Amino acid sequence: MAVDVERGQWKSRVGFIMAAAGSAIGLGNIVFFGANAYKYGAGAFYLPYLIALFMVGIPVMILELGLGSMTRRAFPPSLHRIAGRFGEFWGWFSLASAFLVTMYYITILGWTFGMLWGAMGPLWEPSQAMTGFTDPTIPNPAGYFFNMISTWSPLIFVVLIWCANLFIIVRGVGQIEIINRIFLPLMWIFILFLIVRGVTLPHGLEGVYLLFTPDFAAMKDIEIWKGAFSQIFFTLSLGFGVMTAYASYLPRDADQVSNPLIISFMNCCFEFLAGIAIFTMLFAFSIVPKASTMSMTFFVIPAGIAKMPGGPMIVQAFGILFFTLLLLAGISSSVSLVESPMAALIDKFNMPRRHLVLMIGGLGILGSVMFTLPFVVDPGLAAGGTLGLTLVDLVDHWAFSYGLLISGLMECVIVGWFFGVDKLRLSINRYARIPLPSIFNGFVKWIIPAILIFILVSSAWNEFGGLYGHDYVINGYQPWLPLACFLLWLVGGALLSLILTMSGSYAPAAALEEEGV
Amino acid sequence: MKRFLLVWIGLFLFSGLAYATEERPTLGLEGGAFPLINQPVNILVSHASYPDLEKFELTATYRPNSSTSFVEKLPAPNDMGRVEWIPKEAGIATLTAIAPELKGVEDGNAVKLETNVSVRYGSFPMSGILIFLLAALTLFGGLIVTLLASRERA
Repeated sequence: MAVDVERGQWKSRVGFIMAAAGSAIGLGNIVFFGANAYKYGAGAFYLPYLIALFMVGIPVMILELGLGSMTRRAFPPSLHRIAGRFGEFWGWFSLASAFLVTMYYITILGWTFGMLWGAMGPLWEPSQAMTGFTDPTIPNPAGYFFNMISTWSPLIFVVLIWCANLFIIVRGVGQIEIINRIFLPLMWIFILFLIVRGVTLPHGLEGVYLLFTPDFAAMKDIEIWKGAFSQIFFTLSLGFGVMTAYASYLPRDADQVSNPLIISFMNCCFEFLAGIAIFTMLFAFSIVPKASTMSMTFFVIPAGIAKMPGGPMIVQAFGILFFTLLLLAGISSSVSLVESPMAALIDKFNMPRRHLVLMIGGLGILGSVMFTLPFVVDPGLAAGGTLGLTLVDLVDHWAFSYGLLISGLMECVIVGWFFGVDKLRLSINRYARIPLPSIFNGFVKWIIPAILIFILVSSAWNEFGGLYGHDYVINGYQPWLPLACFLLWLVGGALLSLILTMSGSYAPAAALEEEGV
Repeated sequence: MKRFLLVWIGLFLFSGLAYATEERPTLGLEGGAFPLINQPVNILVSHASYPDLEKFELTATYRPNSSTSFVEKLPAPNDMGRVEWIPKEAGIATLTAIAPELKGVEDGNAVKLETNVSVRYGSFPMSGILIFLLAALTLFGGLIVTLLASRERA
């Protein structure tokens, strides 16, 4: 089999699975799941979450990997091959949303690095003296966090995290494989440490009861189902174009039924363990999580760690363990997020990887710096505090909550209605040990689009009450900043996608029919 | 001069000690923060300078900040600040005591005391065990079966 030198290829199937699982297992598994599970009633959430895994998660994962393996191209070019420029446009729009997510994701990793630094000592002081905020002292860890993000120091951390990502990516998929082979086992070991500590805390085990005991009355609430379906979509890194890009580095005869199953199960097994670790701590220390994931990451869990019995050394050790775990999980995911547009641009413009690393890195660092801006816009801490954190919240709302679901919907529509899902299924089944049943067609054509349309429409309906962020405290930037973030995502993303779709052309490739599809 | 300085230091330390030992308003449970579901437990409100403890309004918010959250209004405490509470649901709950007549010194708002407690199940409910086993078997079992199946192919 001829191997494209510039694109590269995984050295082994295990390496690919480790990389794809490393991409899926990120900050979301450790904190987003815990925050969402609590928000939607813990025990009321788990059963809908499991159902969502089989109804949406696994089928879309099979679709994305199958697409990459069939076309051996990244996300936009693969959609171009099956649905022309219309498909490609939606591919680029997904990547534009994903790149916005990448920018602030790396900023969050920069803040995580800052918290790791703090976990070596100052984070565990009782409170933090503040400047620029109404309250002169705020209890830690929230005080430490807000004090840190209101300085320029995270800028250094963000540049460091970007450099680490680019260093891994510039060497191609081989390096991504090596990093994930090291990071993934470490993450499992660290989460096991946290579980053992969690269940051995006084009454910690009751947190497990809380997570799994179902509340059938609460399950009648449609919001819980909406939350579960969104969670499964985000936790598996679907809609980012990452899985298609990663699968494009596999040989065409890869088994794209067992691979997606292994990756999905591995991701959800990790989330199962992370959920136990988080809930044991919540219960043992009677902690009430706030609504946002960010507060769960930077205040709630560290507040629990600060109460750990055993003295300051134990607190420090578990603090370092927790933030290192977040950093490892985050970097293995961010690498895949950066690789996805890289692969697409290589396919489209046939540019050398090194040049693209400089281009994407430069643009990405600029974007991430925007999200670290330390100017205090909300001194009373009623909303985001600093301009950077406020921007993260506003952009996340559009690029993450809407962008990825739109991406998932469009890929199902394009494959299901334009290309013909049966063709993809037959292509996948040719090399699959467990054949994909014909019910897969119904899921891609009808069920998943219906679920995603419902989630999108009901979320959009809530926006009619006022554009997201309109009631925020953003001194000096209201009311135009929320609108600017919305336009940046929608209009900016659409224009960029249009330009990329219309410019350049692909090297001639054999028609899919000639390749036996 | 040295003696004079020592007296001042002594006075300073004494005033600090007096402040540190001043009784702050508190809200808590008798016998720890882990009551058992459907078992009575005493809530205790105390306030150093407010004698009418029975005027405190008490509520229990079950699973606060979640979509399944609900609030239970509790009876007023007795003059010793004690009231019996039978937790209706297991999980994390927030107890709140508000004295509308008692104004805070700094902000002029009613004094509000809050504490979080974890209401225990006591034992793992059968439905919980079933979901736990279902999740563990589906996820870990699915992973193992798929790995074995794909190894056979390899």
